[in-house]
Amino acid sequence: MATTTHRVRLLRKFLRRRSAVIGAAIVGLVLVTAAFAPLLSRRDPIEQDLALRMRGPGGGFVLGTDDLGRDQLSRIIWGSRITLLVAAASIAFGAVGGSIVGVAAGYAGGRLDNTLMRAMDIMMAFPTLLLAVTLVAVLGPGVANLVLAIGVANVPQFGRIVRGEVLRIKPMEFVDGARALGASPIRIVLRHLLPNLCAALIVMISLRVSVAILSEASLSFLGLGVPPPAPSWGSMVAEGQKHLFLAPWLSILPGLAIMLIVLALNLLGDGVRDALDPSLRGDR
Amino acid sequence: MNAAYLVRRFLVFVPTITGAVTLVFIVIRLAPGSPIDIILGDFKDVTPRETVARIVASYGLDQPLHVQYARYVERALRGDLGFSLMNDRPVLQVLAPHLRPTLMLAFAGLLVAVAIGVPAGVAAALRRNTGTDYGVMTFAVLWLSAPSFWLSILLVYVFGYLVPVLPMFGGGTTGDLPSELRYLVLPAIAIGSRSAALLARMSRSSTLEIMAQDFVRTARAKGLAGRVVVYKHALRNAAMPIVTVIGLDLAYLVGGTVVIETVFARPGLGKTLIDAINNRDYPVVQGCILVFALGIIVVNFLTDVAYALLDPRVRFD
Repeated sequence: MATTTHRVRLLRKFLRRRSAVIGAAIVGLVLVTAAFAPLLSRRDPIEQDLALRMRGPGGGFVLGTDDLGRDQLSRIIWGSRITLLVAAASIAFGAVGGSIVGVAAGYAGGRLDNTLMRAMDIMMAFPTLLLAVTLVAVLGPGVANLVLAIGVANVPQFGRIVRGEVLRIKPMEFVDGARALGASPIRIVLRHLLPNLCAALIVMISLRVSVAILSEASLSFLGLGVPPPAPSWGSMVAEGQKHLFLAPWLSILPGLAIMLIVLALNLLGDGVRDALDPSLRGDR
Repeated sequence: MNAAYLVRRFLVFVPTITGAVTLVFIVIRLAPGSPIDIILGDFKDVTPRETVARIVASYGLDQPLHVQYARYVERALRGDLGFSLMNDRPVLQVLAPHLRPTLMLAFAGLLVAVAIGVPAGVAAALRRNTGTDYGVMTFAVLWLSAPSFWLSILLVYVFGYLVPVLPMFGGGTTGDLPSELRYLVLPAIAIGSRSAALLARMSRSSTLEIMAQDFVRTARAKGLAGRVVVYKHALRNAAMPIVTVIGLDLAYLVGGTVVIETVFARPGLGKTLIDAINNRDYPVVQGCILVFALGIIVVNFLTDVAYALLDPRVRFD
C-alpha cells in the first residue's frame, strides 16, 4: 500500500504537469456545475416557451434558446449531470465486472482463464460503440440501459488489464508468503491482490471515462440514449442539427461542452498515467 | 511468408468468428417481447390463434433455443440470414447494396488518417520541441477530444453552407464514381480526423523512440544522409506500432460509420443498422452486426498478417 510520503511524491509528480492540472481543474468545474445545477441555472431546462424560440446567444439568454424556447444554458448545465452520471456509473460497472473477470481468470488460470479470455477477445472484436449500440438496440433506450450497455462494452478492456496485473503479482513472494501462512484464496485476492491492482485500475479508469462520455454522447446523438425531454449533450447536438443553418449555436455549443470535458479528462488521464505508471507511457 | 504462421493465426480466427456469431444470437434474443409482437404489431390481439401459431412455426420460434441456434448457424453459413420483418426481403439482399458505401467510407477515412496522421507525427518527432511539434500535438489532443458527429456537423456547416463547395447529405449517384467521391470527402474527413490525431501521436512517439536507438546513430556515424537515415532506417522500424494502431483503428472506423452515415444520410450499413433498430427489425439488426463483426475480425486477421510481413521476428515467436 502506498505510504503517505509515497502519495505526496505522486501528487507532486502529477502537479508538475501543467496540462494535467488544467484538465483536473476543468473536470472539477464540471463536477461543481453538475452538483449545483439547480442553483446555477436560472430556468427550468425542460420548460418550453414558444414565444421565446430560437433566440440567439446574448440578450436575455446567454447561450440562446432552442426551437421549443428552452434555455440552452440551463440545458447544458443540467446535461452535465446526465453525462457525468452515465460515464461514472458505466465505468464503475466496467471496472467491477472487468476486475471480477480478470482476477478469476488470472488467479485460477487453466481452463477458466482460457474460456474467459476467449470470451473477452470475442467482445473486443466489436468496437465499444458498436457493442453499446447493439445492447441498447435490444434493451431499449433509457439511463439504466445506457449505463448497462456502455458498462458491458467496457468489461473486456478492464478484464484484460486486471488479468495481466494479477499474472504479474501472483508469483511475487508476498503472495507465496500469504499462501504459506494458510490464507484462503479469497483473502489473498481481497487483501493482497486488489490493493496492488489499484494503480493499474485508476490509470485505466482515468483513460476510459472519456471514451464512456463519447459513447454516451454518440448513443444519445443517435437517439438511443436518454429519452427526451431530458437534456443530454449528445441529443442536444442532434436536435440542433435540424436548425443548423438558421441557428448553428444549438448544435455547436453542446458539442463544445462534450469536447471540453473529454479534452479535460484526456489531459487528466495522461497526467494520472504518468504519475502512477511511467511504464505505460506511450500514446495508446 | 511462413505458412505455419498463417495457419496458426487462422486457427485463432475461426473460434473468434464462431464466438461472434453466438454472441450476436444471444444478444438479439435478450430483446424484451417476442418477434411476433413486432411482426403483427397492433394486429396481434385480433389475429386468430392458429395464424399466430403458423407464423411462430414458420420463423422456427416454437423450437427449443439450441435447435434455433443450430438452425441459425447452419443458415448463416449458407448466407441465409433470415427475412426482414419490415419488407419480407432476405436480409442479405437488404444489406448488399449498403456494403459498398460503408467500405468506401472506412477506407477513405483510413486514407485521410494515414495521409495526414503519419507525416504530421513524423514531422513533429523530427522537429521535436519546436513550433511544428507543439502545433501538431495540440491539434492532435483537440481532435481526439471532439466527438465525430459534432465534427461532421461543423464540416457540413462550413463546407456545405458557409462556403458551399461540397455536397452535404447522401451518397451520390451509385455507380458514378466522381459523384460518389464528391459525396465521400466530408464524411471521410469527419471519420478519419480522430484516427489521424491518434496516428500522429503514435507516429511521433514511435519515431522518437527509434531515432534514439544505436543503429540510427550508427547509420548517422557512417555518414549517411539525414534523409536516408530517416526513411530507410528509422521509419521502417517505427512502422510496427503504427501498423498496430492502423489495425486497431480500422475496427474503430468501421464502428464509427454508424454515426457518420447517420449524420451525412449516407446509404451505408451503419445507417441501415440505426434504421433497423428504430423499426425493431431484429433480423436486419442481427445481420448488420454480424457483417460488421466479420469485417472487424477479418481486419484483425489482416493486421496480424501485415505484422508478419513487416517484422520477420513475429513469424517465429
